[in-house]
Amino acid sequence: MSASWPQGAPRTVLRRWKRNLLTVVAVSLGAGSVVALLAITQSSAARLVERLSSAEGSVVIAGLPGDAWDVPETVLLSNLGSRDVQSAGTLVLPDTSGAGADITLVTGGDAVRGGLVVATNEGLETRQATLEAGRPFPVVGVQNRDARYAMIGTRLARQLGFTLASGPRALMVNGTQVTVSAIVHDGPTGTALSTSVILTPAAAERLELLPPNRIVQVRTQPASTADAAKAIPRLLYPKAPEEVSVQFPSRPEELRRELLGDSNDLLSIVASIMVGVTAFSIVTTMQIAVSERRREIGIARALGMSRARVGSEFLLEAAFLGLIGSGVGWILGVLLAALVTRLYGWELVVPPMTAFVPVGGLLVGAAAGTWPAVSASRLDPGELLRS
Amino acid sequence: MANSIAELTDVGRSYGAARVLDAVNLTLRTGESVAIIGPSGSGKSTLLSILGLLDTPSTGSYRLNGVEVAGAKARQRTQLRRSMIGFVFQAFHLVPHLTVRENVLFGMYAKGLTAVEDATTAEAQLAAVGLGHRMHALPSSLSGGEQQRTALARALAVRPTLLLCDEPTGNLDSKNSASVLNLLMDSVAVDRGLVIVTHDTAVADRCERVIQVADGRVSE
Ligand SMILES: Nc1ncnc2c1ncn2[C@@H]1O[C@H](COP(=O)(O)OP(=O)(O)O)[C@@H](O)[C@H]1O
Ligand SMILES: [Mg+2]
Repeated sequence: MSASWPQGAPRTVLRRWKRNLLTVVAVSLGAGSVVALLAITQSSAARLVERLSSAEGSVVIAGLPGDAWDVPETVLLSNLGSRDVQSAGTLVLPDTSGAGADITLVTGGDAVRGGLVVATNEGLETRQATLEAGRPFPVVGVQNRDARYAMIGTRLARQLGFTLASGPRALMVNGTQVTVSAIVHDGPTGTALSTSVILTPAAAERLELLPPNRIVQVRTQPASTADAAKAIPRLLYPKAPEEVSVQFPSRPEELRRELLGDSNDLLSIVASIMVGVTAFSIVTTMQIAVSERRREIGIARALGMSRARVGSEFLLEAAFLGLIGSGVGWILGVLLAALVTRLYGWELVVPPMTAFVPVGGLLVGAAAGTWPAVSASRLDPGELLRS
Repeated sequence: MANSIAELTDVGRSYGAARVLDAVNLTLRTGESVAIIGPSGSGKSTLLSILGLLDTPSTGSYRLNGVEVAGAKARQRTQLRRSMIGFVFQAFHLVPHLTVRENVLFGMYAKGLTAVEDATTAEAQLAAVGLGHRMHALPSSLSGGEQQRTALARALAVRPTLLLCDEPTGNLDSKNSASVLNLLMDSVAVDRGLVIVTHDTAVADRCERVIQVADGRVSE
């Protein structure tokens, strides 16, 4: 760098540290809050995405036509193969079965309404539902039309005062007796199972409650969800893959982008306010610096210093203030974000783009310093020295 | 025959209705020391400002190094000040928050001199004016005489073609005054000129020419 005003911009700033300190503090608070906001929202989004994608993020839901009910579960699933597939099974929830509202359970006189779920052991496992009591459906019960096996959700069981302390029990569903083998605690992604009665496909058919479509849930490796979703219709329903509907969640990056979409708007508002505040405080400080140093400027100009050089000194100083303020702000912002994320137990994510905050501070400082610099360079040395 | 550095022809300067300089004709040459004397308020400082391009004549012509500068643009006047002119101001005009040494460096910096050896030059010049022991003092802690000598060191350090001094010995006792005067006279060279505004007859006596300012005019 070329030589500057004998002490150079940093030393000039330090020499008047009291006045400049306030500006540096103001700038660093502005930059710091932007950095903290960015880091905190990103960290919380990352956490949310991580949670969502670990739970339901990698489950593909395939809707098969009604005649798919005729295929035994084991045959259906063996078609899937095991590459990329962690688990899979039939599970039709009340909202998709369309029969949920009609279920009436009777046990010892109490009648309660609940949802209808049609599922296999594999389907329940894929949803990560757990058994609070009892045992899975017996293998024989899944396909055997005479074996009418069921499970009930935890909340429904509590409502009915239903326990399995003494083994499987009978229950009336829509007037037909079924055998309840277990009480089911729903998985991490929902609560639908807790208020439902879960029937095997065979039992549902026997009760004439078989949903029109067979829904198969396929849990995949998170990275290969989209590829799996593409292959599944052909694997599960080769004779007419185009009739299979497939739902799968967006990729984690898409999810994160979506989650951050709203907060980005807020952030840009906050950021522009902070830029305004920063610019204002630098303009004020530099304007004071110019008036404090009118004599010095006059002397320099009288001794032959050019207008451009005087102006650039003040410009440099303003840019330096902006750089230091936003640099300190970046550190403060990251520290604050680290504190907050630690408090919530999230992992700290510092967006790489915040590295540009000090550059931005430098540019805002230089822009804000332009007017004071020009006014400094316009001072007439003869006039200044006469007073 | 020495070259003419500065040539004023019928130069006038008015402030509003007040005509401070009326028709000044004056030629300054290299190798020459010139004293300007006259009563207070007669326009000596104004004349010096015009010569140093800090002020512009209202009327007349000013040729500096053969170039007409009476109506020159600010940029050209700054450039000429930088390359040719040195000042010792009546009010010293030291930068209050810079040390003695830094003030001298500041003068060199304003001239665009930024070499490493400048610090050595500055220190040598300060030693020459007898301030070798006060280099790191701030102007506010100096006596009037020391401030004046700092201003002198700042001017001498850049070796200007035309050195303009406004009462450079006004705050000095006779011993210091004599040594400062020696330094000023030593600065005069075949390619450099010196102008001293003074009340001190001892100073005027040592200059080659003495110019009297009165009623807006000059006479020798
Ligand atoms: N910028 C100015 N505006 C108005 N009057 C001025 C200005 N500069 C000098 N004067 C007047 O011009 C006259 C000469 O001033 P000056 O050159 O300082 O005199 P000297 O240096 O001989 O004492 C004084 O009356 C002074 O008030
Ligand atoms: Mg005067």
